[in-house]
Amino acid sequence: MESSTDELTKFRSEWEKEVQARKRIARVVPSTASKGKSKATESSPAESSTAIKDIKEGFTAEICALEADDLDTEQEQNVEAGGVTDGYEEQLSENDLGSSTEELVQSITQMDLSLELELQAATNTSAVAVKKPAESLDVVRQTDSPAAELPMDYADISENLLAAESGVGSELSRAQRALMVYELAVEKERVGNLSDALKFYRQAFRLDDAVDKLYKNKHFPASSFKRVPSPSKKQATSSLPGERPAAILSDYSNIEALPEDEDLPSPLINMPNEVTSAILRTLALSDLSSFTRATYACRKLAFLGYSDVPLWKALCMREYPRMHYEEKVDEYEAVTLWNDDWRRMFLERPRVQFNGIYISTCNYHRYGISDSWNAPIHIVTYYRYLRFYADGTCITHLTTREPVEVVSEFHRHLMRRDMFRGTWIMSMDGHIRIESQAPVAKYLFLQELEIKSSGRGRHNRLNWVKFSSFNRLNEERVDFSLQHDKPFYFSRVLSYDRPPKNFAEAAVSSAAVPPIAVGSGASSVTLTPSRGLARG
Amino acid sequence: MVKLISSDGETFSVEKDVAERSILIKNMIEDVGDSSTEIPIPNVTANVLKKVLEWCEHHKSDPAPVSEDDNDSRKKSTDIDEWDQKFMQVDQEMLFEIILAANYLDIKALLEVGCKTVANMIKGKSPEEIRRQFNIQMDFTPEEEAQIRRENEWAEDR
Repeated sequence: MESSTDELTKFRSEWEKEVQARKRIARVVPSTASKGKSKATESSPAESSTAIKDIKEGFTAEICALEADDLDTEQEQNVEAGGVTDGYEEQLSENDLGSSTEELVQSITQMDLSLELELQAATNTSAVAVKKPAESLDVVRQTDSPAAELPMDYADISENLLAAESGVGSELSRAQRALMVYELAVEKERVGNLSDALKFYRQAFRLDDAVDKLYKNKHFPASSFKRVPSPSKKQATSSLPGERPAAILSDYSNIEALPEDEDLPSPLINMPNEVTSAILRTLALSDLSSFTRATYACRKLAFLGYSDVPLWKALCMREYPRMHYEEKVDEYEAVTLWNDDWRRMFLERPRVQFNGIYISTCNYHRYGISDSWNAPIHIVTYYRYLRFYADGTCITHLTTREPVEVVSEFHRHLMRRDMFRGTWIMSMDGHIRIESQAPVAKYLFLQELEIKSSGRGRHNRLNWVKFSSFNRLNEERVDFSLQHDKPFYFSRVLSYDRPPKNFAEAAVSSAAVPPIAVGSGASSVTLTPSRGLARG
Repeated sequence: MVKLISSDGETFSVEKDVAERSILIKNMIEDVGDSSTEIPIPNVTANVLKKVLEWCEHHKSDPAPVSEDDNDSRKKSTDIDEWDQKFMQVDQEMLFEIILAANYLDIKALLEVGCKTVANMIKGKSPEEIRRQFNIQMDFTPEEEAQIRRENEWAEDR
């Protein structure tokens, strides 16, 4: 079981790489398939979280592939297949991450077609090699040849890969392969890359037309849906948002918690309330989601957590003074707008979040030209990235590169040429104005955004209000159309919590080990596979 | 030297500035005006008091904490310095005894280290794991649980 998940991640990482190599090439899909599906995926940018574990493997594969464009090195790679990752990590720690990433991306994007095909050839062989134990190396080499004669069609290449694999002695049934491709498609969909997602979905269904059910059984088995009894109407109305949280507990006069096992000590709940509250406060300030889970443990913790004024006040006093307001805001005065309820203010008053990144995934399609009866449609995916800093600056980035690639290196200490600095300022009601550099020096970009929540208290969405350019020479302001632009959604990035002075170090380790779990503020299903197109 | 007597009757002689890490003891000494009298600590047993005094000894020359309140809300890190980390490597019961004693004796810094230690034990755990670790009975009604979870969905960012 474990080895098969291993294989799966490796398999995925290989795909990641191929896709990156093809990134700038127009994507063609038949119109019939795209219509239904793109509709179904409209909500997916909201779940634009990324399994960062794959970043590492994505990089691994890329570097390996770059090295392997010389066919001579392939055999060596086959032999080392098991240790590819280790080798890369060593290599990485010797290099400066910033420059190597830069080079990597450039070389991939500038690669001409022949080089790209070679890259794919390398991919195919290494993918096979990774999956096979050392003793079957001979067989692996035989499969090199069909894989090396690459057909032009991308889908065929991947099928070739699959065919090569099964030729080697198939441990993987057709259904399993279909499932892998399907999972990859879900992955693509989750980062908003609909074009690639469609391609893989189609491929998966060609391999096995019941693949969606396989997927569902694997990731959302019936047993995972516990029926949570829905609260009765009376209780539902008794705790409308904004009411005192303690009211959630039907009877909170007695909040003494009981030990599970009478014979053992249970010190946490037997502490005086002031001490337990102090512990909860420490926890909430350091990790809000852990605090929340702790309050689910028992009534006493829930009661203490939600009724502790200093805790919510401390959270507010940590966050709101870091906002850059047009006019100075007195927090003690502000809280009167929320009836002096600090918790309510924390939930309802808009704020910018600094421990992650805002991503706007944009898709648009245009009709291509074709001689045949089915006109192709090109789906173009691009991303806007936005990260705020508490000192009033921010960085913006518009690119076709996917979040897995961008997020870990998105830092003002590692600015790429196409990333731009800006400043931000906001109003109490969550209206943000951003002034940033533009690719041409005489222009400034002016963005106006509005902080919204998808679900109360999240503050995770930035809606577009206005986007314009400002010519510094003639002071002319021109508005852009916001036709293709979708809202930004916030994703938490754990590595951003680290202080910047350790950044060089952090960047290396974040690529070598996978500590940068990206959680999405937009969705609570981030670590489970996207529901997206998983039908049924 | 100050003489402290634990609840189970054991006597500890410590330097005045060690004992005065505890605001409670400091105030008592000031009230009595004579540091040579014996001070009873009725809520703390000898084995815990010994631990607490060990901490006070190590931290006796720490600068006095700056005024707390708002300042205190800005620190969010649960980083604990290395010596304190080792010091806190005790069983759960002792850990909570130390926290209780720090609370009673009014030793802010020690209380803080204790809270951080417990917070780190809770961090990243599911409600079930927390219940298991601290021997807590689940006492929500299903309705309450559903409701409390719905009310707090926003904070579950992972």
